[in-house]
Amino acid sequence: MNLAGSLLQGLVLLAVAPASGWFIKKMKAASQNRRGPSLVQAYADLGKLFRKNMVISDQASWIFHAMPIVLFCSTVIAAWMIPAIGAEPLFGFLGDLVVFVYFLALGKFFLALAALDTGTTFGGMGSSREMTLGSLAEPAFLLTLFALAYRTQTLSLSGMASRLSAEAPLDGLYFMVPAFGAMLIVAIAESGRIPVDNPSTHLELTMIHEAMVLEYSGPYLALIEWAHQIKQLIFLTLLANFFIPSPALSVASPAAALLAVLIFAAKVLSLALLVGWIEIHCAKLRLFRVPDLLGVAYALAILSMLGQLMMGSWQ
Amino acid sequence: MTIACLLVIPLISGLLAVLSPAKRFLQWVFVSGAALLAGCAWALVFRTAGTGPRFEFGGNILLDPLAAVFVFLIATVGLLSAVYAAGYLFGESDLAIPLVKLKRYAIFFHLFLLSMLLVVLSNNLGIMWIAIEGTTLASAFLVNVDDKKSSIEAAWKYLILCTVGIALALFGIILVYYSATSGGGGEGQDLLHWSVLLSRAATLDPQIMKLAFVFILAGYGTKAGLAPFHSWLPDAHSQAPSPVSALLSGVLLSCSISGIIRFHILTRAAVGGGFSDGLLIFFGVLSVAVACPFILVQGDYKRLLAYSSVEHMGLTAAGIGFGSFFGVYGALLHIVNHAFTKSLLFFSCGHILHHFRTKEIRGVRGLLKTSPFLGTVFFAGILAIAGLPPFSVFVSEFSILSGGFASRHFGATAAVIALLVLIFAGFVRHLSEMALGERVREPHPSRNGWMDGVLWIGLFLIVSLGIYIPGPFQDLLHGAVRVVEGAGG
Amino acid sequence: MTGAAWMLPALHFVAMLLLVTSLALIVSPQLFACIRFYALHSFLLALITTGTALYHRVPHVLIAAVLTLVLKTIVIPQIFYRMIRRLGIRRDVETYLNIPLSLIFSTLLVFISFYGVGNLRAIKPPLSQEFVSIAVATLFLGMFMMTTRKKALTQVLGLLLIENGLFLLGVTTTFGMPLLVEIGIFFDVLVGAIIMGVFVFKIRGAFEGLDMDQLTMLKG
Repeated sequence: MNLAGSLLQGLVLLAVAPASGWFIKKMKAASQNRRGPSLVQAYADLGKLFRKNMVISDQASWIFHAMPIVLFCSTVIAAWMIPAIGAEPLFGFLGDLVVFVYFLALGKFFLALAALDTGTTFGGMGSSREMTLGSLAEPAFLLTLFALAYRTQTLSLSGMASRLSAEAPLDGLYFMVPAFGAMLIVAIAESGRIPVDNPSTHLELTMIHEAMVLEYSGPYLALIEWAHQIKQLIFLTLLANFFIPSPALSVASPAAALLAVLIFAAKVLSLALLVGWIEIHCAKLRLFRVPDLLGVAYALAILSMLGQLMMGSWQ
Repeated sequence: MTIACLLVIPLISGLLAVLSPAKRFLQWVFVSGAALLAGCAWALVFRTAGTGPRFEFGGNILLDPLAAVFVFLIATVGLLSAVYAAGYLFGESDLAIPLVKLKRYAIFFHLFLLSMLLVVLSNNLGIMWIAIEGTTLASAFLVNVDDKKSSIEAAWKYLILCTVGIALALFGIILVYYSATSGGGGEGQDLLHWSVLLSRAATLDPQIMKLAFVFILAGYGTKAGLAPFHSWLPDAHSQAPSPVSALLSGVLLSCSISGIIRFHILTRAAVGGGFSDGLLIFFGVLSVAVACPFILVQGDYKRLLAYSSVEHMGLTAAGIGFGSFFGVYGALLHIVNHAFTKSLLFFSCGHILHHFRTKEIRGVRGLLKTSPFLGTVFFAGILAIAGLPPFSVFVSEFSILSGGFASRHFGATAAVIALLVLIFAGFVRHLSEMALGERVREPHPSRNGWMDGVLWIGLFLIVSLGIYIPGPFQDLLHGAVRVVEGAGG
Repeated sequence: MTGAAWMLPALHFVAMLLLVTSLALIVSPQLFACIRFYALHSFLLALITTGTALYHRVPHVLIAAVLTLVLKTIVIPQIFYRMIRRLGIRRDVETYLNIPLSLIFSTLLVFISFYGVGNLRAIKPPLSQEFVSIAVATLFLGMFMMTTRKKALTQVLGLLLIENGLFLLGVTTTFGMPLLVEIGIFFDVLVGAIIMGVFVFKIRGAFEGLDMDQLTMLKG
């Protein structure tokens, strides 16, 4: 049962990922008085890409071929390290926090390499931008995780999630709020959403993520897109499990598992609502203003950490 | 004659200044208000000189000999400055200013006097802080009476730097209050009263008091022009009109020193000797040392005097720090002597500016020949401030230095002596440039009785105090020394 | 003599928001936003003051809370708004440091104040030590703001931030100063803000701008 629950959790994450992206798209469409795509469309798009032929530049080296697989695998492994519906994560262990961040970074690294590989202008531009932002977002992300780890006194993601949800809501408010702010900003930056990157444009001056995958088509593109959606869901899941208090979930029985999936979906959807709301209400920042935003995340993360030291110093 | 009179008179004078319709009436109100204040102050000070401390307003106001010395100073220099201003700003010359600005000047002048009196008279440390902040706010307008670019800049720096400095002092006061309230004792309100704190000094936490004294020294030291917090001072003093410069330099700085002295007494009672004394000596000597090069190479005679104020405030602080009878006595006497001498010098600077239309030392030549009376006063004043024997400043400097030797601070005292010699040389150099030499300008015929009269009085004061200190005043100073040194000291 | 158990964590939360607001005040690129953040800062300060008064049952602190609310969240920001409208100054704040650098320095200052106060074992205020750290941090941040801003108005905001920090320190260590002193301090702050406002006008008139870079005539 234990392993089955973990497997279920991992598969749910993979399966739900396109839907979470779809939800934000739909929300945006609704705000612009459009109908937007149906839920099926999100999966149909992926399916279509998997069936198509690929056009690959004859300049491409092995990196170009390896990248989609590395990216997808590392993202999936990262996804399987985080707690989602209450089951023990497949790859959960003490200290998985750091490994988790590095698996995400590994995918990003290959993405940037592959974008350089074919030697197109946009690819280079995109990868340089991605690495710049990544180098700023990653410390902020790590700091936030460490701030939470300091409070929960554990380095395992699932342990952190369970202890944070056991915390009395008011007691933790003072460090949870800045940490939430920091992680939200990082989530938006890492999943390439609006104040940082616009996922629905191919305008050469602004695009970051899209610039890196311009050369890809067919199944490779499908893997990349899917990985990207999973990454977005990873961040939403972390935010949901760390910061939204809920009754303890379990996958002990099928009924409980169903309930857990439903609660999980509700939490993720409410966060997706928030991200979508920000996307609707904000204009994209100019590229050189993005470091300011990430600086804010950084400062919030430090404040969350310092806050715990300060407030704790008295007891 | 009550203390309340002292505080009400400037208030009424300010109010009357608001209401006065014509220039002559305003001038009359302006001067007579200051004169009345001075009269009251003298009467009060010398009548209560022998008696013990007097409390009023529920213990918030305290008149002891230490406060009396400063009240005497404020009232006297305030009167001189008012009379001088009556000729300088209210006169017919082109240095005069229009009625609207005169009115503003008169109002803020009296408010300035009021807040300074409140500083030295308040027993409540919080009220003292409020009053010191009040002096900044009131005098900022006085600094920029003429609305010139440079004076706006000076006033802005003055406002910002002093307000930040004062904020630090408030930090220190909060610490003192915290130390008093946590020291076990729940009389509530009284715990911010200097006299109450002093009697309970043993219950104050030494560590907090040390920290508090550092903050208060930095805060009030900013206001007193102690280095390295003095950077506003030369600007404000050089840009303000001469009567205001005299008041700022002679009295305002001394008022802040009085705040520092009060906290010094408190800190020493709580912590024991050595800590606040050492800090005062350090910052005092530092101020003298910082002022020295600026005095040597100065090109603007009002700034020259401003840096000399930094130097003399440093000397005073060092004297308080040295601590033996001679040190403290010298320091208090020095405050008085410096106030009279420096205000005389600033007044004569008003004259010089009037004659030569420049603040640059290079622009002034042959002062003695151009105007023998003014030249003589300026000559005497500069020699006095540089510390030459027949004048009063020499007496107090000598006393401070002997206090330094008496308390075995040989290094600091030797350093001060060396620096004083350098500063003396600098002053003599500038003086010879300005006073000697051929006449470069026709003498100005426009003599103003008010302004010249003030110079006569000032000259009389600095010479006579150098030769003989009258009995009642001597008693007052001795009483003040007892307050500083503690009853047994 | 303490109040409900839920109040302390709530106060911690507000204190954290206060810190975040100070940082926001420092990095905010627009003058109007700066003033709004100052108003918010003062509002949170009033909240903490009220909380302290209720938690420790010291009713006279409530008066200080009301004064803070009226004076610093309403009156002084309104004065600033009027001033900006009448001056017609450019709305963006100019600093000597960019935003990430300011943020790094500010967090460093927060850390220093935390560390410094932590080492100061002598201060054991009734309402736990964290507020002292936060008050000192606010003080530092105010000074930081004053030194890195080019415009006269933002310097005044820095000064007010310092004042807020001192107020917080006073309230949380000693339950505020005696009332007479407290009222006097408020009066000083108000008059100070008005007088500095007048000088901002004068600078504007004389220097055709509010940049402090131009105020460098007096030297030596």
